[in-house]
Amino acid sequence: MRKFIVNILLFTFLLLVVLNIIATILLNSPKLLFTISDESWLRIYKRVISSQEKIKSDTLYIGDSVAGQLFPYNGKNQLTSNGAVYPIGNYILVCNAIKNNPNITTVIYLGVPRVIGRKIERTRTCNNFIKPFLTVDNIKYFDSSLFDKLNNKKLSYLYFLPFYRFLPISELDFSDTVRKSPYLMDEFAIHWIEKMMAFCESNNVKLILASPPVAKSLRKKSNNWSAMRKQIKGRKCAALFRVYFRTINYLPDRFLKDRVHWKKSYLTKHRPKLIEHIYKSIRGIRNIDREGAREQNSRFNSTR
Amino acid sequence: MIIFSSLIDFIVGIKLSKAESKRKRKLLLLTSISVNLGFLGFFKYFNFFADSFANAFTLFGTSFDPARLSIILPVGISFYTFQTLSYSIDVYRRKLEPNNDIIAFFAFVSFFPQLVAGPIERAANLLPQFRTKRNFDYSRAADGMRQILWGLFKKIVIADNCAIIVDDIFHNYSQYPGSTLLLGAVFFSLQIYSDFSGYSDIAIGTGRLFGFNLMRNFAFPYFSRDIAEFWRRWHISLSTWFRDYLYIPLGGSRGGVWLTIRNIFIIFTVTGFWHGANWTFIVWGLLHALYFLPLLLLSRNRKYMNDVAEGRFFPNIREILQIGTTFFQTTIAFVFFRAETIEQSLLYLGRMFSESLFSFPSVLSGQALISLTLIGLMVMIEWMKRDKQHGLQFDSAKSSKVFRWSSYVFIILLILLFGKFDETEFIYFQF
Repeated sequence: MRKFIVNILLFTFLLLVVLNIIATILLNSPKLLFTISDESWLRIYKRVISSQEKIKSDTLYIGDSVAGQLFPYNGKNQLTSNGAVYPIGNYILVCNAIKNNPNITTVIYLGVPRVIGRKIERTRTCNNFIKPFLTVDNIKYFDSSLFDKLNNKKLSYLYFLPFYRFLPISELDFSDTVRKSPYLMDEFAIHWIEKMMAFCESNNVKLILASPPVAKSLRKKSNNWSAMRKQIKGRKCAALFRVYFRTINYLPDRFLKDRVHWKKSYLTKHRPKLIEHIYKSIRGIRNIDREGAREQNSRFNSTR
Repeated sequence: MIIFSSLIDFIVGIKLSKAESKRKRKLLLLTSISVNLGFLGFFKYFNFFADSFANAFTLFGTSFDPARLSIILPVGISFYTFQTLSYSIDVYRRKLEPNNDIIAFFAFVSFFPQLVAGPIERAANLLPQFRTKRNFDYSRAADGMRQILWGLFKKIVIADNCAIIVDDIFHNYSQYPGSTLLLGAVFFSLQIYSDFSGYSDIAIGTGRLFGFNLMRNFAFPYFSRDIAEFWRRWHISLSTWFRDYLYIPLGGSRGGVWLTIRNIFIIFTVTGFWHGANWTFIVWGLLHALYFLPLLLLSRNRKYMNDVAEGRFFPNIREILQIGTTFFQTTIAFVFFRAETIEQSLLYLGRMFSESLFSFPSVLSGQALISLTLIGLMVMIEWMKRDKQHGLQFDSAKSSKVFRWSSYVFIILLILLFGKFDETEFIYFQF
């Protein structure tokens, strides 16, 4: 029996070493990884890889899934994803992109108000933030605010082992039972938006916060986002949000596909106008790659 | 239910040991059979008979809506019912001493590795193992772990990947060409084999970890050279159960040609019916009866008793053709097994054997190609191990530890990379 247990333990140890080596190779060979696996977290990991590659454009677009309806992910300068990537995940994308592409002069971070300030304690966090972003390479970007969160779910530290995210048992529910108003931003989100702001400033890059279109009914429900406006008053990111609230384009609820996203039929007709609305509302801020964005979107329309 | 049915058989066993009169012994056996088959019939077949009865009435121009039961089928009922029946019958036949240890008996009936989907154990094999002291055996435990790993690979990687393709093809069969439908049928044959034999491997391997030797349930059936050999290698615990407790008592093949034909049809019909309350399973069984009968009547059913290409690595042309033909026969029959109605089965086969059979299959996507590669790997491994108990069995004296451990790592890697971990049930759980 002893020999059996010893062999099991020894094999398990060797297995973990081998799996870690293979996982590291796979994570550094994205083409191979994306061919052999279609796990949902890899869709976000693709954005991480793209952020480390050459980007010709001087404008980077990041944001949530509604932003992705206007500026869909293109593997180049449009790295939109979803709301469960959070400001912290988008911060990492921005840091990678700017470090590897000194030509970037502007970052446009798009997110609807109810999503941009969401708390990280949600079920979707595992596949959209933890698995793609919690790597040893990204430790340099993290601070105590994240580690405080991770300490509440100590199993999440296992994700620093490359192989762990490939295990079927690796699904971790990050949600908690604390209910928060959807019209108030989480402090964690504000902290990472401010970090993003500071990083961009130190690299002479203009960060613009903007909103994709929002349902008209929400304007009344949120009392014109009065709670959010009050929350960020006097904060470092106040100026960012002054512009942000200006960019909100309210559309009739009947064009909604679900509670947040817009009908494809509506977007096909109105995407250029919706994008133009965003550009107009951030007019005067440093030049953005509008031609590049238009070209991307016309290609997007023709392929969809 | 399992407690009640086990208690009945335990008591019947004890009473049988004390009963001397033939009449009383028969009555006791009849009690056990009635209770076990009664429960099985009630939970599993009530709605089937009710609906069939109602449908028969429509032939006479009248219709009525029969009462139906809305109850959950107790898990494993088809398996443990037969297991306890084998005990009662063996005690009746005086082939087995009745068991006085109720704990051992209940443990035998409810032994967790094989409770829900077999192998259907014989009391003579398993029951004594609960009453004897078991010592830890390193090589048995190690081989048990290997068998579990191989079972997991077959189920999670092969069966569940095939299921995605099979479900799509069978659900949308009217839109696909014949070549794709043939591919779907082949994938289903591989799915059901990998699913069921994978479960059996996990069950047997787990049993071995605990020091129990469960009976073998699959012996690489798709390498069979004819249908008779197939049935000696497929779901062995069920086919031998029907042979010993139904076919032989009915007279087997000793009562002349017509009796033999009758018995073969009864056995295969019941085998089909055991799988589920649907006419498709019965047709599946009948097809196999038609395949098997010529071999039996020509006394060719025991022609291939050894492993194919024994002592050689490559099969010869004749063996390849035999294997291919047998696989094709079973694949055609499995269309009925998979389809929801006979009508769907016939439409599927009709479309499969149309002109479009010679067109290029339309589902050769990345998923299908990866599945084909993995299936090829499984077939190759099982071919190389066809004289062993399972695909990962090693002769420790001949293979180095490095090679063995590398193989395990490779299989685990395949499971992690290609395994489907969504909640897909084992196919035979539904039986």
